[in-house]
Amino acid sequence: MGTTRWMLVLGLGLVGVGLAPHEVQACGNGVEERLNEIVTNLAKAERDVNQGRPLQAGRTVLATYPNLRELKPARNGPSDRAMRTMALAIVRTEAKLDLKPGFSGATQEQRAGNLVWAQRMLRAFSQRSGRDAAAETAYAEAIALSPARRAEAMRILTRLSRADLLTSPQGYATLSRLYEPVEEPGTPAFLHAARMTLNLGRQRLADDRCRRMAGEAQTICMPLES
Amino acid sequence: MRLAALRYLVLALLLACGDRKASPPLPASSASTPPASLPAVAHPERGAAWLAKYECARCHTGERLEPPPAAKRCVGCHADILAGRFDAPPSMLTEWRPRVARLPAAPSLDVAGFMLRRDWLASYLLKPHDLRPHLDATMPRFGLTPQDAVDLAAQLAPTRAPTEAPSRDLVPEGRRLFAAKGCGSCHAFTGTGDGTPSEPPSGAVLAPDLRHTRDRVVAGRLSSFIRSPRSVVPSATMPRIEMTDDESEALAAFILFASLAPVPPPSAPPRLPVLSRRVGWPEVRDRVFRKVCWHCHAQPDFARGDGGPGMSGGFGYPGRKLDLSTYEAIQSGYLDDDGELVSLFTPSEDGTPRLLQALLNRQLEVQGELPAMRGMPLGFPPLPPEDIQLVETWIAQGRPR
Repeated sequence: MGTTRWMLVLGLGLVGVGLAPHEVQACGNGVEERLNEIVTNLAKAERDVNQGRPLQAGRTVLATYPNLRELKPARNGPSDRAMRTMALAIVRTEAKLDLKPGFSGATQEQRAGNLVWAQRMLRAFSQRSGRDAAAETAYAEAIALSPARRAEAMRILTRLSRADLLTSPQGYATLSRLYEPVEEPGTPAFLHAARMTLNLGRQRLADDRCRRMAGEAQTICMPLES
Repeated sequence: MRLAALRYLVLALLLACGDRKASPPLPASSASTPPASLPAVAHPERGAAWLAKYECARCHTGERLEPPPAAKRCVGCHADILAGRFDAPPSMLTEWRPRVARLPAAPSLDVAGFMLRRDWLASYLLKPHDLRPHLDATMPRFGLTPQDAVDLAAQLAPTRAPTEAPSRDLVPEGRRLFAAKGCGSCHAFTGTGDGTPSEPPSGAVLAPDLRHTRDRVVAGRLSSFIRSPRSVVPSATMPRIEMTDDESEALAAFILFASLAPVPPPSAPPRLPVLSRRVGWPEVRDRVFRKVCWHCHAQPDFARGDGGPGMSGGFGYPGRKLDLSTYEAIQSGYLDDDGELVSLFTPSEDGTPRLLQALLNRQLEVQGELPAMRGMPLGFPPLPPEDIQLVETWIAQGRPR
């Protein structure tokens, strides 16, 4: 092997060392959140998106990952958390979030595109995680914004709620909105009235759970503007 | 889950019966009384596999153990933090030290190979109890079957040639030497009035309460261990104290045969009423979940390590995907034996949510009971009543975020 080839091998080796993740430390659960700036930022963004400050969360995520829109779900890692948080930020602003680069929401078309992106991400995480109630709750919250998929969202959220596995007040707020009375043309009046009464009861239960879980962030449980 | 619960119920009944029927030669704490019956046939070769399966090397060292990967070094990591070797800013090390000081060391399993009784070891593995008063942590209660325990004990404590126990006539001389040699500055010896160290030396964290020694050790081996611990077990932490063969023999006699006054089991701590003030997630997180629980129950994708045995599996347990590090994760439940998600707040028969029941069950375990659902935190003292009250209040208020 010639000198040039050796140097190439050595160079690649050094690059490999530089790119290698830090040695995994034992017993470090929670340590990373204090030591790794990216993880610290993501933890803050998650707090914001959960406490009713989705715009702030989106800003933090984009400041940490400016190229977020180009990323694909990886197998567990901070970038996945960033994508999930941004997806929730989009959903919880009813897709009105307008952030650059990558998430402009000035036009209806851009907002719709952002919502599709958010739904796709949350679907990917939900499917990948297998049994993960938090991922399912987030996915259902996202698809509930698309009228054609409200029934699917209702099925997921109702199943989780019955098992006491609905993981966020936003999930209960979504469930409550899904129980909103809707016109049912062609349905006999007595049947419509019975459904209305039943759904109002369910809605009150969901509202109550939302308010109890939301703690001080009661705005989470208020009706959407649209 | 039901099968496991039934297995432990049967085992609990078995051990409870054993406690009543057994008539040990000398009074000892009921917690250290071996169960009446254990499987008669041991398979040491299977025990070797159980060393790996139950991940004994997370805490222990020993010739029979493979050093664990970095992500599974519980005690080694604690030691690094305490010694300032852990790669973190000094302020954080200062913050973490008091927490990890609860488990700074664990005994070498080579001591078991030299002198522990196999039957005692098997029963202890099934029903661990506090042996070391200066160490907060105790041996965790694993999901071992009685046969697993017997196999593991056979692997750790091989058959030894019979040796002669010291004479009971040496007890008075042994008592005198116990005081003269300063044994009580490290060792408690409850029930004798001897050995009540108020502030033991820092190296004495593993010093056991000698009350249990007569149950634990092969009588004829104690004397040589006392005389020169590191000659017979190089990894032993007990220092050598100058003494003659006769003196070590007398000390062994005192430890093995001194009269023991009965010691009542720990009493049940009070169950405090639910608080009337508001309790939110940040308070319960900081005081309970992120102080204790998330060491074993966290997400591996944003934590160093493997997420812990309660999340990814370990200590012989399958991965339960139980993550207690975030609000949403706690609401997400865990996987049961059938792979189904179950809420942590599912009420048990008396209405107690499972999460709370696990905390209360740890109190029962410390009192010598074996509840079907394992108590938490695993191998650590029960949470203080005030912390349990906080968790109960938070649940009762609808788990506000």
